[in-house]
Amino acid sequence: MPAMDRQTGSRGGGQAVLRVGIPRTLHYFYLGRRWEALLRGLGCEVVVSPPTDRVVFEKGASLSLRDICLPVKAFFGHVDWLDRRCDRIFVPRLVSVHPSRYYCPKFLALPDLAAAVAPPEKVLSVEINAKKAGGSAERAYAALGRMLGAGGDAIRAAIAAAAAAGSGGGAGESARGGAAAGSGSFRIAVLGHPYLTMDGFLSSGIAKWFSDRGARVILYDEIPADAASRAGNGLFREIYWESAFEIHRAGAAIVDSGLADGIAVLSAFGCGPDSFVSDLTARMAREAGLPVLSLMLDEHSSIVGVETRLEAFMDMIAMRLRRAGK
Amino acid sequence: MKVTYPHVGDLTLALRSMFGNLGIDVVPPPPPGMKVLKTGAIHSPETACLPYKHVLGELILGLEAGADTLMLLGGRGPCRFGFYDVMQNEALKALGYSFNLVSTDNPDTLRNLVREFAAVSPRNSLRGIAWEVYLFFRRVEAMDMVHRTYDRIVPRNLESAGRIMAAEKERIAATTTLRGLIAARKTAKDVIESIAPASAGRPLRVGIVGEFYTVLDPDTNFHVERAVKSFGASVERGVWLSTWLNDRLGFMPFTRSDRKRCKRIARPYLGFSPGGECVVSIAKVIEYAREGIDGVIHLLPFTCMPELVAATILGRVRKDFDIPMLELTIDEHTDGTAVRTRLEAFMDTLAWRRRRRLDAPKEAFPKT
Repeated sequence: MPAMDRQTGSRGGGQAVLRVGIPRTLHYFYLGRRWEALLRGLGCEVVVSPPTDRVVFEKGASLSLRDICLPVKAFFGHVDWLDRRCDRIFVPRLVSVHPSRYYCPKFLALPDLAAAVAPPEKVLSVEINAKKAGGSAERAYAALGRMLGAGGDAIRAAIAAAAAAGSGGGAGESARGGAAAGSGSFRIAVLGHPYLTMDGFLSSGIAKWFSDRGARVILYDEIPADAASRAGNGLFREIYWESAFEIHRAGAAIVDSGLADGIAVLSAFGCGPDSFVSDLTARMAREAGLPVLSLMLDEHSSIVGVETRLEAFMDMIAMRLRRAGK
Repeated sequence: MKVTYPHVGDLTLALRSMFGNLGIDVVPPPPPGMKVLKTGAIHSPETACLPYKHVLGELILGLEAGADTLMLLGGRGPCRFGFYDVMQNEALKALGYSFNLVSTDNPDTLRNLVREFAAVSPRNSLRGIAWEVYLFFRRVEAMDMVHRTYDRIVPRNLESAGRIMAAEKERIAATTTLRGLIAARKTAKDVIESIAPASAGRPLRVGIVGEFYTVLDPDTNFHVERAVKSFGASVERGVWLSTWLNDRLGFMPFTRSDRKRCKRIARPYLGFSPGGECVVSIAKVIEYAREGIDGVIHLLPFTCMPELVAATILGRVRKDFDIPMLELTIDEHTDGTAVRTRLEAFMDTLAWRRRRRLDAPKEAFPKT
């Protein structure tokens, strides 16, 4: 490959720039910004699908089995949207980032699921698996670079750019489920998978609803990682799903350190880890005497349908704060 | 100390004789059915998977019947099965039961399993216990062999044939020595093979794959095997207790791992095993299609994560191999009549396809 190409990181041979799509759902909310920087560094044009809306979601639902979980239905919609606009769709296989934990089975098979709705040859994937020797994210990114025909220097530069981009999936209100950051008279923690709580459509705008009514909304990534004093919360085995573990840990931190005045636990209909762990998190909060609201979201959810419950929850918090003289 | 344990297909029968030989006092799981399931379901999270609710129901009824020790298999994911014991421990504690929980999860090895049995057995020879555990596995294997042989025939009289198979399994379960077991196994095979077939023709062949518990437990899957046979078809089942035990615990070090083989077959469709029986389901459907099996039934509990992955991917496999499939999702609200109606329509499709293939000149239907 000519030196010029290596510098720009393009695929060489005078080909057009490769358009790579990233679905703005599921793991985009963990590492999306990093992947955008990485792929740009490797000389690709990056297209991120728009935030989930009714059209994208319904297309996805039409492509899925009726009883698969809500976020995967949305994922199929995003894949389909990108399929019509991109050369390749980047769907990494995010197996684990911690040796004793997994992401859920659907994450483990995500590229294969994508290949069930888009042409299999379009799916661009690498495996990130901390359980395996040589399964680190850096190795996976380097493998991706080689797959795209980039040279060693370009790959190193792209990985450095990715590391500098930070984690998460974008910034600002849109990435916080529409909730404004900042202060409020009371604090409500909205706990749930980031691809649920930070997706305004899937979460029916619950975070925004709270913040519009003067609450300070706390999402789980705003809870410091070392805030939890009891790691396993008395369970005899640690939770082995990464996202559920983090949610439960955040719940424990809130309960122990009084970081919020109430907890709303959002779970997705059909989500396996949620079906177990949301129950544990809600029970933990209830036992500690913290107001807790458990909401299961599905494609028929709307803010109108849950408004009464949200209002009752807010009233309860307000009443308790008044009693406590705050 | 009184031990209770969950019921999974023939496991109960095989465990019963092992516990007896080890002198462990047991409260056998209650007969499966709606009472068990409803008991479990009211104390379970709403969208927990069906086997969880079933097992919880059994544990509650077992504790009510006087058990004080629970024996469970644990795990480390990624499927929910590995977290059953933790959740059930929490649920039963919240209900106010006091009990001792023995979970064979850490590490998930044969050595550990033997140790767990030693902990609850009054016998103290570790070697003797190891031998009993080995015999237990051989009994399960023999029962599976009997069942597999039975699956491949379509008996003239389903009722009596079913009774004959059950009796042979009982005889295997009652054996106490390896020699006796091998003899019983041989007799059983001969007996099953001598059952009168319904017709001399080549019956339709139906594969059954899916989630472990749902496939193995006839009371959960509405006796789908018997129903398939009642339509005059033979059955090829993709999930076996002995295979699962061997792949997981390595009873027979020289038997090849079926799971590894399945991973290889499923690779073009699934690059990574997401737990449960997902790879097995996909691999077996591919295998069945290559063997020319007429159709496949895919059984899964509602919200089962690995099997929903499999079901999505099987949509692709089914098109690529042109094999008819019936997907049956089961939970505590599933109705037996609805299952029967869908099965009937499916069997009609298979019969129609078979006729069409036989009637048509070969070249009119190019192989897809």
